[in-house]
Amino acid sequence: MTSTPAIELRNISKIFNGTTAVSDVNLSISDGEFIAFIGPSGCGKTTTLRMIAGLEQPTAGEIASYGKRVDQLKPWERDTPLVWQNFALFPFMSVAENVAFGLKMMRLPEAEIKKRIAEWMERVGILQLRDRAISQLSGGQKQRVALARALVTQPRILLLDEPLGALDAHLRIKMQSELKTLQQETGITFIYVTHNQSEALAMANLVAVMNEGRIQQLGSPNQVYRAPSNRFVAQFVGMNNLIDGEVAAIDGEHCMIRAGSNSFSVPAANKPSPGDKVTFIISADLVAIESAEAPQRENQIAATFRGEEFIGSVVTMFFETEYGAEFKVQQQQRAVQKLGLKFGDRVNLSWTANDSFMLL
Amino acid sequence: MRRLNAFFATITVPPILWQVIFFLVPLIFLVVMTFWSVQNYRLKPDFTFTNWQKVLAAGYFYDIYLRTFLYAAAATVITSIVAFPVSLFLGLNAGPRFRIVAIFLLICPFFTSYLVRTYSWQVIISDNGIINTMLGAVGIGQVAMLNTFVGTMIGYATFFLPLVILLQFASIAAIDRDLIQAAHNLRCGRLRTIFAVVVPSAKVGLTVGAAFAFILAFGDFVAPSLLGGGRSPTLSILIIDTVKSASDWPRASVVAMAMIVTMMGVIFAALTFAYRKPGETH
Amino acid sequence: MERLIRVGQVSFVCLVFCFIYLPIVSLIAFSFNSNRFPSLPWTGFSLHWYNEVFADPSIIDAFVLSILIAVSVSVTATLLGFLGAYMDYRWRFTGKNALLAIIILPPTIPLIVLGLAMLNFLKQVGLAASPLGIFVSHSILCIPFALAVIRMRLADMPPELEQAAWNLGCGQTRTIFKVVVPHCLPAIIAALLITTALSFDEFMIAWFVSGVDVTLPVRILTLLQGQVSASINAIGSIVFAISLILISSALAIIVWSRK
Repeated sequence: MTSTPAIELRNISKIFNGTTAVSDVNLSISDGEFIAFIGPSGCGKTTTLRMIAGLEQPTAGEIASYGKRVDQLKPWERDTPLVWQNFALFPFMSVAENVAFGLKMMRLPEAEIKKRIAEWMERVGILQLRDRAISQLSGGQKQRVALARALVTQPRILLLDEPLGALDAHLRIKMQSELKTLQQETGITFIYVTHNQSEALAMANLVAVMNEGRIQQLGSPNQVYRAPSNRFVAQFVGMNNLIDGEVAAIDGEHCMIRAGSNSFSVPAANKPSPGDKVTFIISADLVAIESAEAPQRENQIAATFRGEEFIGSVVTMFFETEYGAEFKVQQQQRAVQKLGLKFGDRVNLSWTANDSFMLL
Repeated sequence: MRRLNAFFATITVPPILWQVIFFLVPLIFLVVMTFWSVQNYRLKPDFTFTNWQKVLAAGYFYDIYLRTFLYAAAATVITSIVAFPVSLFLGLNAGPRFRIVAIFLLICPFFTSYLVRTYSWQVIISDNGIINTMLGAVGIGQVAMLNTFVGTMIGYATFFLPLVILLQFASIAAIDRDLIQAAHNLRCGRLRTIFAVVVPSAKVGLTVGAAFAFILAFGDFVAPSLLGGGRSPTLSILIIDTVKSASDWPRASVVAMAMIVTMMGVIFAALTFAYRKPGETH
Repeated sequence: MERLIRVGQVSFVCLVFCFIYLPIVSLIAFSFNSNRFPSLPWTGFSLHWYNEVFADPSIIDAFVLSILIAVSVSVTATLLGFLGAYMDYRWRFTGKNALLAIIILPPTIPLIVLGLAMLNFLKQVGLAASPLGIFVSHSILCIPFALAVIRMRLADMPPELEQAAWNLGCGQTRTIFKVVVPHCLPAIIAALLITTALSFDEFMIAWFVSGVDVTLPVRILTLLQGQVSASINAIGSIVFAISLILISSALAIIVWSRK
C-alpha cells in the first residue's frame, strides 16, 4: 500500500447554473479502498464521481490522484475508467470490440490486446459472448461487458456509477458478492456510487453519506449504521426513530433525557450538560413490543398500532406515539404473528438504554 | 363485422386508390411506353425492343449516364462533408434556442423555390456578379463559375444541403451522450471520438443523408442546366431534350427507367448499409 | 485551445448558413435595385420591377392559376393524407406496409421521371395540357408529406383516447370527427400549409404536364430560359415571401402543438 492517497479531493465545489451540486468537499481515499457514496438523488454523489473522471469540471478546488493534480486534465488523459449505470456500451461494436476499446486507445500491439481481452472476458465470464452484438445481451451480461471494458486497461482506480441499478433484485445480490470479491482480489481502489444503502453497507469498507452537496458522515458501514453523526444520516441510513428532548440529569455513563411525558436513559457519549436540547435515536429493529399491562420499565412509551409493511420475512410496524404517528418497529414475521396485534391495539414499546444513541 | 368493414374501407380505399390510379398506373405505363414505337412523330402502341436497343447502343447514353452518376456522387460527397461539421455542432454543442432557430432556417429553404434560388446564384456567380466584382476589387481576376462544374455543385448544394444537414443532425442529436463520455473515459480523444463513436452511432442519418443527396442530384435538371450551362448534359437534360425536341417519348421513358433502376439500387444499398447490425460482418 | 475550436466551429456554421441564405438575400436586394442588370454597383432603390410584374397579365394569370391549384391540391392531399395516416395508426393487416409504400413513394422518384410518367398517362386519359392534370400530379406528390406530418401527430395520441370515446357510446365515424380530428388539428393545418407551399413551388412536373395555362414557377422557368430580366427578382421575392409565410406558419403550429 502506498501512503499517498489514490484520490484526494480538496475543497471541491461544483455549481450548475447557480445551483450548488457539490459544496466544499474534502476527502482522501487510500489506495485499495472500497468506498461507497450514498445519498438521495441530487445529493452530489454522481457529480463527485464525474469530477473524478473529469467529465465535469469542478467550479472550485483541486483533485489529486497518487499525489499528482488531475483536475486540469481532460477526461481522456486520465486513468479512471467508469462503469456506467446504463452500461454505455457501444451498440455498433461487438462484445470483444467493446472490451478492446480502451486498449486500442492506449495503442497497444494487436497481440497484446487480444491476450488481455481474452483474459478479462474469461475472468468475468463472457468469453463465449465475444462476437455477440450488444443488443443480444441480457442486463447481467451487459454488466459484465461493462466491467471487463473498464478493468481490461488495468487501472488502479475504478469508478462505478450505480452499476447494479439496472439489474433485477436477484442478479443484484449475486453481482454484489462478485464485485466485492473482484475488488479484494485485484486490490483496485473502487469508488462506488449508489442510492441503495444496503448495497453500500454490504460491499464497502468505507461509506460516505452525502446530502445537499456535502459529506454528512464518513465512516465504516457499522459506524454509519449504528452511530450516525447527525439527523440526516440517522434518517437516511437504517431505520431509526428520532426523539427530541432535554437533558435532565447526568449519571456517570448515562444521562436522563426528558421528552414529553417520558424520561429516557441514553448513553452520554458526547458529554452533554443538564438543560441541553438533544436528539437521540433508537433503531427500529431494537425495539421490543409488550402489552400495555406489562410492568413499567425505563425507556418505555405507550403506543397504538396503526399499520404494517412486509419486506420478505421482516415486518415494519408503525405505531402512533406522542412523538408522532410513525414510530417504527422492525421484527421477524414469526414474532409478529405470535403477538397477534390488531390495528388500534394499545401496547408499550421499550428498549435497552445502551441500544439508543445520542446524536452529536 | 360488416360495419367495421365499411368503416375500414371508407378510410383505407380512397388514399390507396388515388395513389394507385394516379401514381402506380402512370409508373407502370412508363414501363409499357418503353416498348411502344413512334411513327411520323405519332405514338403507336406496340411491343418492340427497338427503343431499348437504340438507347443502350448509343455511346452518348453511357457518357451521359456516367457523367450524371459522377456529378451526383461528387455532390453527395461534397455536401455530406460540408454538412457534417454543421450537424455535429448543432447536434452536440449548440444550445437549445440556437438549435430551434437553426432547424427553422434549414427547413424553410427546402420548401421555398429552389428554382428562384438557383436563378439568384446565376446572378451571383456570373462573370460580372457579386462574387467576381468583389474578387476584382481585391485584385483577383475573374473566376469562371457559372456554366462550370463548380456552378453545378453550387446548384446541387442549394437544392439539398439543408436537407442533408437536417438528416445528419437528427441522427447525431439522438446519440446517447454517455457513449461519447464513455469513450473519453476510456482515453479516446476529442477528434478520435468523432470517428470512433459519433460516425458509427449516426450511421443511419449519415447514410440516409448521402442517399437523399445522391437521389436528388441524380434526378435534378435545374442545377446542371441553369448553373452548369447545359453543355455537359445529364440524364434529366437528355430526357427533356428527347421529349421536347425529338418528341420521342418511348426513348425518354427508357432513359427514365435507367434512372429509376439506378436509384432503386442506391436506395437499397444505402438501407442495407445503414441498418446492418454489428456482428453480422463476422 | 477550447475557445479556438469553438470559434472555428461557429464560424464554419455561420459560413454554411450564409451560403444557404445568400441567394435569397441577394434576390430580394436586387428586386429593389433600379439597374436593369442585377449586378453591382447598386444603382438606387426602385419599385420599378414590382410594377412591371403587376402589369404583366401573363404573370398575374399564372399566379392566380398557381394559387387555385395549390389550394385544391392542399385540401385533397391533406384529406387523403389524413386517411392514410389514420389507416397506419389504427390497423395492422397483411400487405399494409406495401400499400403504405405505394402511398408514400412519389417523393423518392425524380421529379423529371414523375413528370414524364404523368405526361404519358394524362395524355392517354385526355387530361394533358389541362390544369386538372397539374392538380392530379401535384396531389400524388403532396399526399406523402401530409401523411407524414399527421402521422407524427397521431403517434402522440394515446390509444385510450379513442377507446374512451367508444366506451362512452360514440361511434367510430363520430369519434374521428369528435376526437381524432381535433387532436390532429394542428398537424392538419400544418399539412395544409406545407402542401400548399409544395404545390405552389413545384415547376418540374407542372412544366411537363401544363399546356397553354401555366403556373407561376413554370412561367419563371420560361423567363429564365429566355433573357435575363430584373423582373425575375421581383417575382422571385414575391414567391419566396409566400412560401416562407406558409412554411414558417406550419412550423410554428407544429412546434406550438408539441408543447
